[in-house]
Amino acid sequence: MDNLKELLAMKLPVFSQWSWMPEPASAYAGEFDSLFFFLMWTGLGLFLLVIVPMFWFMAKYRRKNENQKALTQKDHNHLAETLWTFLPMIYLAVCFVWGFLGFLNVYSIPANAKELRVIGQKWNWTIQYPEEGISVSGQGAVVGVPIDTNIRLTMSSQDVIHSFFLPNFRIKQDVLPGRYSTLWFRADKEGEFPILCTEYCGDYHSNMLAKLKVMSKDNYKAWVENLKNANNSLAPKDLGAKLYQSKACVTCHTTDGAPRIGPTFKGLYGSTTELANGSKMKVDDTFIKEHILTPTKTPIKGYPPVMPAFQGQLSEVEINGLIEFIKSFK
Amino acid sequence: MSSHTNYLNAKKGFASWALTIDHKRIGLMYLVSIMSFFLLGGLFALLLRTELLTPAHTIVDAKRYNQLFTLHGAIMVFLVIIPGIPASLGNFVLPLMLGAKDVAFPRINLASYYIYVLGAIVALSSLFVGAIDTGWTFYTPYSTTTDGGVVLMVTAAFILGFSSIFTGLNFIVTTHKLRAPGMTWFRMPLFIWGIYSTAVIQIMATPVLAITLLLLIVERTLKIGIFDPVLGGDPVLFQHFFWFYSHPAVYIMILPGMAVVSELIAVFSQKRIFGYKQIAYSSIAIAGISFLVWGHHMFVSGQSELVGMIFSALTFLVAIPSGVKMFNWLATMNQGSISFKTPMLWALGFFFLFAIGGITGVFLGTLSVDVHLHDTYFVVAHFHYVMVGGTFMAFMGGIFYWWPKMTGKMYSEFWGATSTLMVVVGFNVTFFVQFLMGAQGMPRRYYSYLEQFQIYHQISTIGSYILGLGFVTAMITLLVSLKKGQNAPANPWKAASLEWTHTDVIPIEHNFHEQPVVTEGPYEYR
Ligand code: HEM
Ligand SMILES: [Cu+2]
Repeated sequence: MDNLKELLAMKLPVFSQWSWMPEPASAYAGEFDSLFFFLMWTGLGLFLLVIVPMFWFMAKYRRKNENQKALTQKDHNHLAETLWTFLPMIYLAVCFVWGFLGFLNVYSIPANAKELRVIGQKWNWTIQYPEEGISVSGQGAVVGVPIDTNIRLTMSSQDVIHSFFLPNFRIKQDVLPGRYSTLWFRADKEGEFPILCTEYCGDYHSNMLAKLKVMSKDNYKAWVENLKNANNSLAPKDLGAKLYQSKACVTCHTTDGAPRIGPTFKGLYGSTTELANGSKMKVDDTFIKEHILTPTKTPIKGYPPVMPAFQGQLSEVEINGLIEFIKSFK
Repeated sequence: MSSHTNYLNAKKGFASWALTIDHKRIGLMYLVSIMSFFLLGGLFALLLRTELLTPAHTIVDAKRYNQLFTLHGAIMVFLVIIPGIPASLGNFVLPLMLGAKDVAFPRINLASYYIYVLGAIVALSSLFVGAIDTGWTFYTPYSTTTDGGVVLMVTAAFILGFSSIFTGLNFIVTTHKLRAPGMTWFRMPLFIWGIYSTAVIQIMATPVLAITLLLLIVERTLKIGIFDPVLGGDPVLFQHFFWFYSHPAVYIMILPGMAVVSELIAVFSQKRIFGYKQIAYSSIAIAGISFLVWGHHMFVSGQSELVGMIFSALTFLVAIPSGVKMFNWLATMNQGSISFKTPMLWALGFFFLFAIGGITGVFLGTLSVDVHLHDTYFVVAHFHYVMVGGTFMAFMGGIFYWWPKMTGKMYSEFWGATSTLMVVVGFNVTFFVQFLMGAQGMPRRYYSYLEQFQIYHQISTIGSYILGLGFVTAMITLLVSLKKGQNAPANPWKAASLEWTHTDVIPIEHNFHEQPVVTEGPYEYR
């Protein structure tokens, strides 16, 4: 799977190997980091506050001979006990308020935001651009967005729970089946930033990667135009090859006869297949189309019923492309 | 010594163990079982870490990897950490500490052990049906749609719940009813307070888990829509139910650890425990508040901001009693006479690691910070610091502490100390880098990962080998002592609680030759 190798080689921009936080790509991420480092330094302080005395006492009061007694049996000190109950409360209250304010920021979506729709499914993301009339999908999909623009994501899942995570923006949100969740961000740095799935969703959970590409407004326009033109001018078989990657058929189907989660495409077209209910079907254009759109109607014997339904996600042109692609593996 | 009869040699033969109603023998049987599962769970962990040496395929494929982390988690949580200290050490020590002959319901106690064994068998049999790959959290609708032995594993957790409830019930009644004359509530060792608070959570929270798991089974087998939106259910409802149990459950895990550490710090400093009442009440406070914080596992699940805010505030509240205990232990060491015998080394290790676990808990309780850190390796590191660095370190300390009472043998201090050191070093190497990679955005439950994380994963894997070796060394040290160890005196640590002061080297079947009468607190060292 060259596709996968390339994905894993993707770099998440960080300051340096040993820094705590990946490089921030939004104003919010910068604010977040101040809080994180506040927790980090005060946390270190607290840690030293208990660990230094521990080592100090260990050294100073270690038992030097068997019968050594404790210096005192005093077992309470009202002042100390009050202090160590109430001082932490103040500290924790600060953390709480600061964290809550940031949290409100993450989930209060500006009214004028540009909307993208996100669909999670095992094991890739589809991002639809209602305004531009385009969509991108597949493992490693490149999700273009313009810089300095409020972007609102309306997200849902086609199967199990996923979670949409943008480390460089310090945000994530679960993506649920049967309901919509939202998230927003405003990128202030050009570059490529990974999108990861952070809710465990099965075999290829860790390959459910995509790339957020932040571009200047002009470049973004050009990117959209390019994408619009690309699909119409491709030869059907090449379009199929592209979809084979981007719709993640590749995760389950090989083209060289090797077994994977689903049947291989090699020699598939024109063969006869046995369904789970025992009946036999010829793999022709109609069968392939139906199986891509609603795989549960014709489950195939000997394979787990895990293939997602592509109903509503593929145009007629694209389906023809896929059929031609499959046909090409004799 | 050999001329004396004690609980170990009073009766002989397999049946005398299998059918025993002696809390001490039951405690030992639990200890052996729990440690065996710990080794199995640990083996899975080492396989996982080995797989993560490279981002691509190293030794197993993705599916197997997912099964391994599920089994590792489920075994460690349901078969090791949750029963851990209460069922083994608690069973052995609690009646002795209270000056009682046995627990209140000895037969139920034995039944709880067999329910545990049954649960364990059902859990492991899921391996043969096709191992489960949902993670130990069984989130729906993944768990209702994936294949493999989900029903079996869930049934196992359901069964194990009963074992937990039986044990809890027994401890509560025993504490209320069977205290020796003169043993007032505030003359009970803090170990009892901790185990008692744990028992309260056990009997109150476990039924919720049981019902949740039952609903899951119903949905999977009968296709009645509860959690799966395809059937008309609500996917997040499961998480609410699950964490309503499982958050209190993390206190089922840690309170007994704190309970053990309170004993160890006092005894090995030969000093009356500082702030006795504050520690006792803080256990109860933790037990209470722990029921009200479950939503902090779901800050990014789409629950409302208001709900998030409330759960964050309550989460911080629960941190306070934990902090209070830390300060009290420190103050106990101050001006003490501190000896560094093996049990104390485990307790100091606990102190060091639990401090880190608690402080990183504050990061996670802080709402906006949790949004970034949730479901990354930062959380993995946090809960290992509290569950292994905290609970399991305390468990080991407790085993080394009560070992002479259980077996009548002393172990090699040199090897005891060496194993503790290996565990503390190995642990930090394994898990500290996980904070770093988690903060940088490495999600948990990932079979492969972006190349830049490889260096952290490799360090972590090397640490895990040291850690594993440390635990194995500790266990060998104990086992060798059975053959080669010197005979122990009745009270090797100069402790002041009844299990040391009023029993034979190895206690007799009914614990005490005559009913002890208590006239002072458990920490009067002289
Ligand atoms: C100062 C005390 C503590 C605080 C403030 C705290 C806070 C938190 C928070 C907010 C989370 C959720 C993180 C997330 O999923 O994004 C969490 C996770 C967790 N905590 Fe703690 N915690 C504390 C102590 C403990 C203790 C004592 C234990 C157990 C012995 C524990 C075990 C866990 C576990 C198992 C998880 C992860 C569960 C999972 O995701 O599977 N924590 N903690
Ligand atoms: Cu996912």
